[in-house]
Amino acid sequence: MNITPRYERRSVQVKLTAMIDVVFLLIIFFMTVSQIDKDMKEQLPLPVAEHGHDVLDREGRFIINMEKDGSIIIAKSKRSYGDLQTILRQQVATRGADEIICVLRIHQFAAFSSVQEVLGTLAKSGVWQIRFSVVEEQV
Amino acid sequence: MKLLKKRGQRHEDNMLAMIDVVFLLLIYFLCTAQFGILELDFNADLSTGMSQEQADSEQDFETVKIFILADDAGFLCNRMSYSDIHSLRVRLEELRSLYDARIIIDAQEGVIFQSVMAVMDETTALDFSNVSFAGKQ
Repeated sequence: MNITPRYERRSVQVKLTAMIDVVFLLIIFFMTVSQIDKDMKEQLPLPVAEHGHDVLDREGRFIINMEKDGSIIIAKSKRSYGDLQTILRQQVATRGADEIICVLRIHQFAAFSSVQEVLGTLAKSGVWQIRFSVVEEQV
Repeated sequence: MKLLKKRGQRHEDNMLAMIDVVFLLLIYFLCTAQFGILELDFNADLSTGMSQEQADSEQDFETVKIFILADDAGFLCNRMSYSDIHSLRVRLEELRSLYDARIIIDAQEGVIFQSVMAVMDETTALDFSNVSFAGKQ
Protein backbone atom coordinates (compact mmCIF):
# COMPACT_ATOMS: atom_id res chain seq x y z
CA MET A 1 0.00 0.00 0.00
CA ASN A 2 1.41 3.31 -0.98
CA ILE A 3 0.56 5.78 1.82
CA THR A 4 2.96 8.53 0.95
CA PRO A 5 1.04 11.42 -0.57
CA ARG A 6 1.85 12.42 -4.01
CA TYR A 7 3.25 15.86 -4.05
CA GLU A 8 3.29 17.72 -7.18
CA ARG A 9 6.49 19.63 -7.60
CA ARG A 10 5.56 23.19 -8.22
CA SER A 11 7.90 26.12 -8.24
CA VAL A 12 6.61 29.03 -6.18
CA GLN A 13 7.23 32.34 -7.80
CA VAL A 14 6.88 35.52 -5.83
CA LYS A 15 5.77 38.45 -7.90
CA LEU A 16 8.58 40.81 -7.11
CA THR A 17 7.48 43.54 -9.45
CA ALA A 18 4.36 44.18 -7.36
CA MET A 19 6.42 44.16 -4.18
CA ILE A 20 8.87 46.68 -5.56
CA ASP A 21 5.97 48.89 -6.64
CA VAL A 22 4.63 48.85 -3.09
CA VAL A 23 8.07 49.62 -1.63
CA PHE A 24 8.44 52.63 -3.95
CA LEU A 25 4.99 53.89 -3.06
CA LEU A 26 5.83 53.60 0.64
CA ILE A 27 9.06 55.52 0.13
CA ILE A 28 7.23 58.29 -1.73
CA PHE A 29 4.49 58.39 0.95
CA PHE A 30 6.90 58.71 3.88
CA MET A 31 9.02 61.29 2.11
CA THR A 32 5.98 63.43 1.32
CA VAL A 33 4.59 63.16 4.85
CA SER A 34 7.92 64.06 6.45
CA GLN A 35 8.25 67.05 4.10
CA ILE A 36 4.81 68.38 5.12
CA ASP A 37 5.81 68.08 8.78
CA LYS A 38 9.07 69.94 8.09
CA ASP A 39 7.18 72.74 6.36
CA MET A 40 5.20 73.47 9.50
CA LYS A 41 8.15 73.32 11.88
CA GLU A 42 11.06 75.72 11.87
CA GLN A 43 14.50 74.65 13.02
CA LEU A 44 14.51 76.16 16.49
CA PRO A 45 16.41 75.43 19.69
CA LEU A 46 13.43 74.68 21.90
CA PRO A 47 13.42 75.19 25.66
CA VAL A 48 14.48 72.29 27.83
CA ALA A 49 12.00 70.82 30.31
CA GLU A 50 12.09 67.46 32.04
CA HIS A 51 8.38 67.11 32.66
CA GLY A 52 6.92 67.50 29.21
CA HIS A 53 4.67 64.71 27.99
CA ASP A 54 4.39 62.82 24.73
CA VAL A 55 2.30 64.35 21.99
CA LEU A 56 -1.14 62.85 22.55
CA ASP A 57 -3.41 64.88 20.33
CA ARG A 58 -2.04 64.89 16.80
CA GLU A 59 -5.15 66.22 15.10
CA GLY A 60 -6.26 69.81 15.08
CA ARG A 61 -2.80 71.14 15.91
CA PHE A 62 -2.06 74.64 14.71
CA ILE A 63 1.68 75.30 14.85
CA ILE A 64 3.11 78.73 15.58
CA ASN A 65 6.88 79.16 15.49
CA MET A 66 8.62 82.04 17.23
CA GLU A 67 12.18 83.10 16.46
CA LYS A 68 14.62 84.59 18.96
CA ASP A 69 13.69 88.15 17.92
CA GLY A 70 9.99 87.47 18.56
CA SER A 71 8.96 87.16 14.91
CA ILE A 72 6.19 84.70 14.18
CA ILE A 73 6.43 82.09 11.44
CA ILE A 74 3.44 80.02 10.34
CA ALA A 75 3.97 77.43 7.58
CA LYS A 76 7.26 79.04 6.51
CA SER A 77 5.76 82.56 6.24
CA LYS A 78 6.57 85.43 8.55
CA ARG A 79 3.41 86.90 10.06
CA SER A 80 2.57 89.96 12.09
CA TYR A 81 0.50 89.79 15.29
CA GLY A 82 -2.40 91.27 13.32
CA ASP A 83 -2.11 88.50 10.71
CA LEU A 84 -1.95 85.92 13.49
CA GLN A 85 -5.17 87.18 15.00
CA THR A 86 -6.91 87.14 11.60
CA ILE A 87 -5.72 83.58 10.87
CA LEU A 88 -6.75 82.37 14.33
CA ARG A 89 -10.20 83.96 14.04
CA GLN A 90 -10.69 82.26 10.67
CA GLN A 91 -9.64 78.93 12.20
CA VAL A 92 -12.01 79.41 15.13
CA ALA A 93 -14.87 80.33 12.77
CA THR A 94 -14.38 77.24 10.60
CA ARG A 95 -13.37 74.62 13.16
CA GLY A 96 -14.57 75.92 16.49
CA ALA A 97 -12.33 76.99 19.38
CA ASP A 98 -12.59 73.67 21.18
CA GLU A 99 -11.16 71.81 18.17
CA ILE A 100 -8.00 73.89 17.92
CA ILE A 101 -4.87 73.00 19.81
CA CYS A 102 -2.29 75.72 19.39
CA VAL A 103 1.30 74.48 19.52
CA LEU A 104 3.82 77.18 20.33
CA ARG A 105 7.33 76.31 19.20
CA ILE A 106 9.34 79.09 20.77
CA HIS A 107 13.07 79.75 20.60
CA GLN A 108 14.48 79.18 24.06
CA PHE A 109 16.10 82.63 24.08
CA ALA A 110 13.02 84.52 22.86
CA ALA A 111 11.86 87.25 25.22
CA PHE A 112 8.97 86.19 27.45
CA SER A 113 7.26 89.51 26.72
CA SER A 114 6.85 88.36 23.07
CA VAL A 115 5.36 85.08 24.30
CA GLN A 116 2.93 87.03 26.48
CA GLU A 117 1.90 89.02 23.43
CA VAL A 118 1.16 85.82 21.50
CA LEU A 119 -0.76 84.38 24.46
CA GLY A 120 -2.80 87.58 24.58
CA THR A 121 -3.57 87.27 20.85
CA LEU A 122 -4.62 83.64 21.34
CA ALA A 123 -6.91 84.60 24.21
CA LYS A 124 -8.47 87.41 22.15
CA SER A 125 -9.10 84.98 19.29
CA GLY A 126 -10.80 82.52 21.60
CA VAL A 127 -8.12 79.82 21.36
CA TRP A 128 -7.51 78.34 24.78
CA GLN A 129 -5.84 74.96 24.27
CA ILE A 130 -2.13 75.74 24.27
CA ARG A 131 0.90 73.47 24.16
CA PHE A 132 4.52 74.57 24.39
CA SER A 133 6.97 72.38 22.49
CA VAL A 134 9.94 71.41 24.61
CA VAL A 135 12.84 68.99 24.45
CA GLU A 136 14.10 66.79 27.25
CA GLU A 137 17.76 67.46 26.70
CA GLN A 138 19.78 70.21 25.15
CA VAL A 139 21.09 69.07 21.77
CA MET B 1 20.36 36.99 -37.45
CA LYS B 2 18.12 35.17 -35.08
CA LEU B 3 15.24 37.25 -33.76
CA LEU B 4 12.80 34.64 -32.62
CA LYS B 5 13.21 32.94 -29.31
CA LYS B 6 13.47 29.25 -29.14
CA ARG B 7 10.24 27.53 -28.26
CA GLY B 8 9.87 27.09 -24.53
CA GLN B 9 12.57 29.58 -23.64
CA ARG B 10 11.30 31.94 -20.91
CA HIS B 11 12.34 35.50 -20.68
CA GLU B 12 13.31 36.23 -17.04
CA ASP B 13 14.21 39.66 -15.74
CA ASN B 14 17.12 39.83 -13.41
CA MET B 15 15.13 40.74 -10.33
CA LEU B 16 18.07 40.50 -7.95
CA ALA B 17 19.73 43.53 -9.49
CA MET B 18 16.49 45.50 -9.24
CA ILE B 19 15.98 44.59 -5.60
CA ASP B 20 19.56 45.65 -4.92
CA VAL B 21 18.83 49.02 -6.45
CA VAL B 22 15.60 49.39 -4.43
CA PHE B 23 17.39 48.62 -1.18
CA LEU B 24 20.22 50.97 -2.03
CA LEU B 25 17.66 53.72 -2.64
CA LEU B 26 15.94 52.88 0.62
CA ILE B 27 19.24 53.08 2.52
CA TYR B 28 20.10 56.33 0.76
CA PHE B 29 16.79 57.96 1.76
CA LEU B 30 17.09 56.69 5.32
CA CYS B 31 20.60 58.10 5.63
CA THR B 32 19.80 61.48 4.11
CA ALA B 33 16.57 61.94 6.09
CA GLN B 34 17.00 64.40 8.94
CA PHE B 35 15.75 62.62 11.98
CA GLY B 36 14.09 65.17 14.19
CA ILE B 37 14.67 65.49 17.89
CA LEU B 38 11.78 64.14 19.88
CA GLU B 39 9.61 67.06 20.88
CA LEU B 40 7.37 66.91 23.90
CA ASP B 41 4.28 68.89 24.79
CA PHE B 42 3.85 71.11 27.80
CA ASN B 43 0.25 71.99 28.61
CA ALA B 44 -0.43 75.67 29.11
CA ASP B 45 -4.17 75.95 28.56
CA LEU B 46 -5.57 79.43 28.99
CA SER B 47 -8.30 79.99 31.53
CA THR B 48 -10.65 81.47 28.89
CA GLY B 49 -11.94 77.97 28.26
CA MET B 50 -13.09 77.46 31.84
CA SER B 51 -16.66 76.86 32.77
CA GLN B 52 -18.29 78.99 35.46
CA GLU B 53 -18.05 76.03 37.85
CA GLN B 54 -14.29 75.77 37.29
CA ALA B 55 -13.89 79.53 37.66
CA ASP B 56 -15.75 79.41 40.98
CA SER B 57 -13.60 76.57 42.29
CA GLU B 58 -10.49 78.56 41.32
CA GLN B 59 -11.32 81.14 43.93
CA ASP B 60 -10.72 78.53 46.62
CA PHE B 61 -7.03 78.32 45.70
CA GLU B 62 -4.35 80.24 47.53
CA THR B 63 -2.48 82.39 45.01
CA VAL B 64 1.31 82.25 44.74
CA LYS B 65 2.93 84.81 42.49
CA ILE B 66 6.34 83.98 41.07
CA PHE B 67 8.21 86.86 39.50
CA ILE B 68 11.30 86.05 37.46
CA LEU B 69 14.02 88.68 37.51
CA ALA B 70 16.11 89.47 34.43
CA ASP B 71 19.84 88.69 34.05
CA ASP B 72 19.62 85.55 36.24
CA ALA B 73 19.06 87.74 39.28
CA GLY B 74 16.76 85.17 40.84
CA PHE B 75 13.08 84.99 41.66
CA LEU B 76 10.47 86.59 43.85
CA CYS B 77 7.89 84.26 45.29
CA ASN B 78 5.15 86.19 47.10
CA ARG B 79 7.69 89.01 47.42
CA MET B 80 10.31 86.81 49.09
CA SER B 81 13.59 86.68 47.18
CA TYR B 82 15.22 83.46 45.99
CA SER B 83 18.62 83.49 44.35
CA ASP B 84 18.25 80.42 42.14
CA ILE B 85 15.80 77.83 40.90
CA HIS B 86 16.82 75.29 43.56
CA SER B 87 15.94 77.55 46.47
CA LEU B 88 12.67 78.43 44.73
CA ARG B 89 11.96 74.74 44.34
CA VAL B 90 12.48 74.17 48.09
CA ARG B 91 9.98 76.95 48.82
CA LEU B 92 7.47 75.53 46.33
CA GLU B 93 7.86 72.07 47.89
CA GLU B 94 6.99 73.57 51.29
CA LEU B 95 3.93 75.28 49.83
CA ARG B 96 2.83 72.15 47.99
CA SER B 97 2.96 70.13 51.20
CA LEU B 98 0.44 72.61 52.64
CA TYR B 99 -1.96 73.16 49.74
CA ASP B 100 -2.44 73.11 45.98
CA ALA B 101 -1.84 76.78 45.23
CA ARG B 102 -2.77 78.75 42.18
CA ILE B 103 0.55 79.74 40.61
CA ILE B 104 0.86 82.90 38.54
CA ILE B 105 4.14 83.31 36.68
CA ASP B 106 5.30 86.74 35.65
CA ALA B 107 8.66 88.01 34.46
CA GLN B 108 10.65 91.21 34.25
CA GLU B 109 11.27 92.74 30.82
CA GLY B 110 14.16 90.92 29.13
CA VAL B 111 13.60 87.50 30.73
CA ILE B 112 14.03 84.70 28.22
CA PHE B 113 11.45 81.99 27.65
CA GLN B 114 13.78 79.22 28.91
CA SER B 115 13.75 80.78 32.41
CA VAL B 116 9.95 80.74 32.43
CA MET B 117 9.87 77.13 31.26
CA ALA B 118 12.29 76.19 34.05
CA VAL B 119 9.83 77.56 36.64
CA MET B 120 6.90 75.90 34.88
CA ASP B 121 8.81 72.63 34.84
CA GLU B 122 9.28 72.81 38.61
CA THR B 123 5.59 73.54 39.24
CA THR B 124 4.63 70.60 37.02
CA ALA B 125 7.07 68.35 38.84
CA LEU B 126 5.42 69.32 42.13
CA ASP B 127 2.00 68.64 40.63
CA PHE B 128 0.46 72.07 41.03
CA SER B 129 -2.79 71.83 39.12
CA ASN B 130 -3.33 75.50 38.40
CA VAL B 131 -0.47 77.36 36.73
CA SER B 132 -1.01 80.46 34.62
CA PHE B 133 0.87 83.44 33.23
CA ALA B 134 0.37 87.05 34.09
CA GLY B 135 -0.96 89.06 31.16
CA LYS B 136 1.19 91.68 29.47
CA GLN B 137 0.57 95.14 30.83
